[in-house]
This record gives sequence, C-alpha cells and structure tokens, in this order.
Amino acid sequence: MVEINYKNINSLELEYLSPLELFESFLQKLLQETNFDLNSYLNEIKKNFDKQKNYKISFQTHEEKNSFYDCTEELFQQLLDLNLSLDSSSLVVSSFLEIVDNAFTHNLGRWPTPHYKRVASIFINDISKKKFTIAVGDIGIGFKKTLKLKYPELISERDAIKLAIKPNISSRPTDYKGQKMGGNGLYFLQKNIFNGLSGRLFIRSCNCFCEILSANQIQELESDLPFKYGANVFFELSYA
Amino acid sequence: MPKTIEMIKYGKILFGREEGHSAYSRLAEIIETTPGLDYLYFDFSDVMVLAPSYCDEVFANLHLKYPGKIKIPANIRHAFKVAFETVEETRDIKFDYSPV
Repeated sequence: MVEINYKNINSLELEYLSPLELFESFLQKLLQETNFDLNSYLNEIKKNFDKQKNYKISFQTHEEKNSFYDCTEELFQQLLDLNLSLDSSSLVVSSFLEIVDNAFTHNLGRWPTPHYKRVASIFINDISKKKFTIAVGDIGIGFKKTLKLKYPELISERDAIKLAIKPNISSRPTDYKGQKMGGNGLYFLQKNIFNGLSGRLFIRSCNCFCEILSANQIQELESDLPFKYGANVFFELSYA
Repeated sequence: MPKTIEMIKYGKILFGREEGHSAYSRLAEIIETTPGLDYLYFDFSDVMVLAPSYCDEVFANLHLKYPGKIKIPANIRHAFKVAFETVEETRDIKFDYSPV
C-alpha cells in the first residue's frame, strides 16, 4: 500500500479512510507501474480483507461498465441479507449504477491514457456498527475538468462538486435534436440519501474531499490531497 | 385497446441510456404498429432495479413523442416511483398514472 498522509480525513471514521486509501493506492499503482500486475494486487487486497474481523469487504474493478451490471444482482442480494427493504435495496443499487455510469460516461474519450480506463468499487459492511459504505472511484479527469467545458466559470473542484449534485448538470453532449439529457446521477443519489435512506455522502475530486450535507450545502474536508486525477463517491447507510 | 408490456422481458436491472434507447425503439415500434392501440401499460413485476437514466431514456421520450400513449401503474413500488418522479422533475413533464 502507498503511504498517504491525510490530515482531516484521519479524524473521520475508518470506513471513509479505508476505501479512500485503497482506491488511491490502487490508482497510484496504475499510474506509476507500467507492468502493474492487477490480478496479484487484487489477490493481495482480498487476503488483507479476509483478515478483517469486524468488516466484510468486497472490491471490484472493471474496464467496462457492463461488467459492473453483471455483479449487480449479487450486491442487491447482499443488501437484502442486511435486512434492507426491497425498495431501499433497489434505490441503493440504482444509485450505485448511476455513479458507475457517470465514471465511464464523463471520462469517455478523456481518460489520461487508455491504460487508466478503469473504475473500481468497494462495498464495506461494518458489522459491529451495522453500517455499510459503497464507494466508486476512477482515475479520470475529475469534476472540474469534466464540467468546465459547459461551465467555464468554475474555478475550483469544490465548486464543481457543489454544482454536480444539482439536477440537469452534465458534461454529456446534447442529443441529435439539440435536447439536453442526463446529469442527474448524483442528484438522484443525494436526493435518495437525504430524503429517504438517511445516509452520508462524500465526494472526492482530484485534490478536494467534501461531505455533502444537503442538496445545497457541502463541507470541504480537504483541499490539498496529493492527487491530480480522478474522483470518488462514497455513500454510507445504516441497516440497524 | 390497451396493451400491457411486461418490463421483466427487458431485464431485471433496467439501467443505462444505451439499453434504455434500445427499449425505447422497440416500444415506439409497438406503438406505431399495433392497430387500435389506446395506450401501453407497463407491468414492473419481478424487475429489481429501475434507474432514472433508463426511465428518462425510455418513458420520458415515449411520453414526449407519443402523448397519451403510455400509462404507468399508479401502485408502482416506491423505489420505481422515485425514478419516475426524478424524471418528471428534471424533464418538467408529468406521466399518466393509472390503476389499470
């Protein structure tokens, strides 16, 4: 694992620190090692996870979004097994898929190199606290560069994150009839988190890490993380 | 007369704009080629997930292209209703909900 020294993040609970460290060590390796052996790395991660007693963790990484869909039924079943209702499980899975779709769609044709065209997800069940965290991460261009083409007034990652959780905000091109579509994945997630599921939502884009407190309020937790690339979305829910 | 569409035939996980666009094309074909069709009525039995991007691509576009030709079950379960409400809010449209 790459050693990363976080300041404020270290004061957060383990479930946020853990996936962020994991994502970043994974993504840094992709960036730094030309002959990176992905399968060995994933096996190593699995071994480390298996040692955890209070956590049940699964990690996935794919180059195509359809590969995430293939695992969706398993995630759905995991949520039902935690006694989440059918509706809540359905909302969590659709929110997760929207975020995965964002990661692929908004980086389309813009990945730093084809080698990095990869999205990772982590599911962490904190058994003792009866909470789970789902996180999705990529090593794409981040929120500000994604949105700046359509919103050139954006000057910071924080502002880009704040903008991205609003409805109809997208870098997606208009369709052939000039109609604007999409841009509601994060809006849908924050709406579900704050209006029904009662969870917490965190977003990192490049060097900026924020907690989304409501539809209109975000709190910047870090603005100087050592990452030039990528974005992570974390959402946490209780199942007690 | 109305025609019921079993959405499970389009998948358990209804997600993605590309998949939604394919479903839209198929459903538009049904609307255009079914003689005497009043409207399509959608049965979501056994569907696990309906994502708003799919809902937008299929149902918002059908609603706009063929006004009055689609009806959504009024008793649709909450998670799916949230997807429809999100689309209504972001596309500024109102779907027709019907008990039958």
